[in-house]
Amino acid sequence: MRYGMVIDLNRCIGCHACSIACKIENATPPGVFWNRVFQVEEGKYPDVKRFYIPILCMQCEDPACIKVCSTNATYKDSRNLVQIDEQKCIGCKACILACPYGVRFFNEGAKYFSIDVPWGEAEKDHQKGTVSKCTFCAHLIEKGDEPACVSACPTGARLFGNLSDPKSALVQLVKDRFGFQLHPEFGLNPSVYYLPPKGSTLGVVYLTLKSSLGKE
Amino acid sequence: MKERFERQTYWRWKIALYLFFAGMGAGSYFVGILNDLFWGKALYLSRIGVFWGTVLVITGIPFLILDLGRKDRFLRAGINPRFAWVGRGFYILSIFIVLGVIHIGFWIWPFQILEVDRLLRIVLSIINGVFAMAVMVYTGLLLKSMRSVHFWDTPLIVILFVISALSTGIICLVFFSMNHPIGEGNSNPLDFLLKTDSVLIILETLILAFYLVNMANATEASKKSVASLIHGELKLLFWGGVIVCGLVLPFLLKAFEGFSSRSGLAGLTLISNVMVLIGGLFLRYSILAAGVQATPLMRNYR
Repeated sequence: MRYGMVIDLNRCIGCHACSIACKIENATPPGVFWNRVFQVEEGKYPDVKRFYIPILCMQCEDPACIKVCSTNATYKDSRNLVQIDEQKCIGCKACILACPYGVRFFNEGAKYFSIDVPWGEAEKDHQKGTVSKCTFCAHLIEKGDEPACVSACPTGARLFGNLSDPKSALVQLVKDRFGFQLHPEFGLNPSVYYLPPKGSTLGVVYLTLKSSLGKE
Repeated sequence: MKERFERQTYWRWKIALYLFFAGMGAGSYFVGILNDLFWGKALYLSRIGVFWGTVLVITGIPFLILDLGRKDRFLRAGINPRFAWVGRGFYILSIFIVLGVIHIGFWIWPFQILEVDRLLRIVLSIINGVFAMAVMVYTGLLLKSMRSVHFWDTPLIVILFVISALSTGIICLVFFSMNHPIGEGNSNPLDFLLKTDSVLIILETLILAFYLVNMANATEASKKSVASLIHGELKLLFWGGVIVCGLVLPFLLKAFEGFSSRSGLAGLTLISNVMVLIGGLFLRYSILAAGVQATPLMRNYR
């Protein structure tokens, strides 16, 4: 079993709903964004296109962060997901500098939300002075749910599932639509795949309609 | 690969001070021991090296701990020395300090067991000399192992740090032995040390230049790092602190001293020595601050 995610860049409209859903679900401290959406421009005028790319922890198979963690605070849990034990982290920040995907954050503060309404379901006590990152919403996976960013995406750009099953929709999509990993040459084997953007609004509408019609 | 670039802000002054003290301390310890093992004269120099070397490395430790997010948990840093250089450094530093304190205790303090048995002292010197070298090398490898910063990802940074450590270590020896009655033998050992230091300064300049040229031609991120040093935000610190204050002026002052008569220039020596030390600190800081993290945004798929 290897959890993975496929993000269709044709569908991502840069609404940042995933970032907000992640912040609500995991109650991350100020300045900490386990999930971010970046705007990318490509090409030279007049042949330019712009698209959005969400960046989150790549859940590498052979993570660079685990190797530089001197306290074993970063570890792989029973589901093969890379996690941080905030109780063990000493905040040396080596993993932030070692991660080639830039998805780790230093918790400058711990408390964020000022109201006592229970929002997300993750543990809200982030420890000040430790490092945190996306957990793939392990607490939701435990219950059989999808990560918060996946269920929040209004265009259905994200697909979550099992990468080690060759018949899964994830693997099929990656195969059919030329899915790629970021920095595959580093050999870390990230579990997040992206489907290359074609860059046309019509195409996005078409794909969205097609899949939503196909579902029903 | 389309990338996003950010100057790293995680390791700054505290780590620079730590790297500086650890390098300087290990350097002066190493040079002190070399003097004891190979030259055997002017033993006060070795004593100064062993004593101040150990003390300076210990001085660096608080900065390392202060930089942690959770200072109360610093002892856990040694849990995983298998891959992590922070963990390996924990043991290298610990062993160096413990052996150094034993060395001080036996040799310099009243017990002086090692003074009686020279063989024991030599064995201890050799073992801890290896650890002193390990401390110098480790300060470079610690940075080298950080993958997202391409500017640090080269063995040249290790060589640069070792040479800077030896250079500042020698200055430290000279600095603390200035008031000592000089010259147990025929030649003045301090003169020799200062000449060695001049050679090291030239070497350091060459390696720094080679390092920067190399990095300017490596990746997009390391190009940005070099640019920030040469003509960017860090240019004052780099040109003023590292190049002029740390390398050019000390060398010129030393050359001037060499050509003129020997007497009455202790003040100049002192100034140039202090400059080398400041340059060593600025070197660490500017290399840390110039580190640009490169994170991917998109592959080149066209």
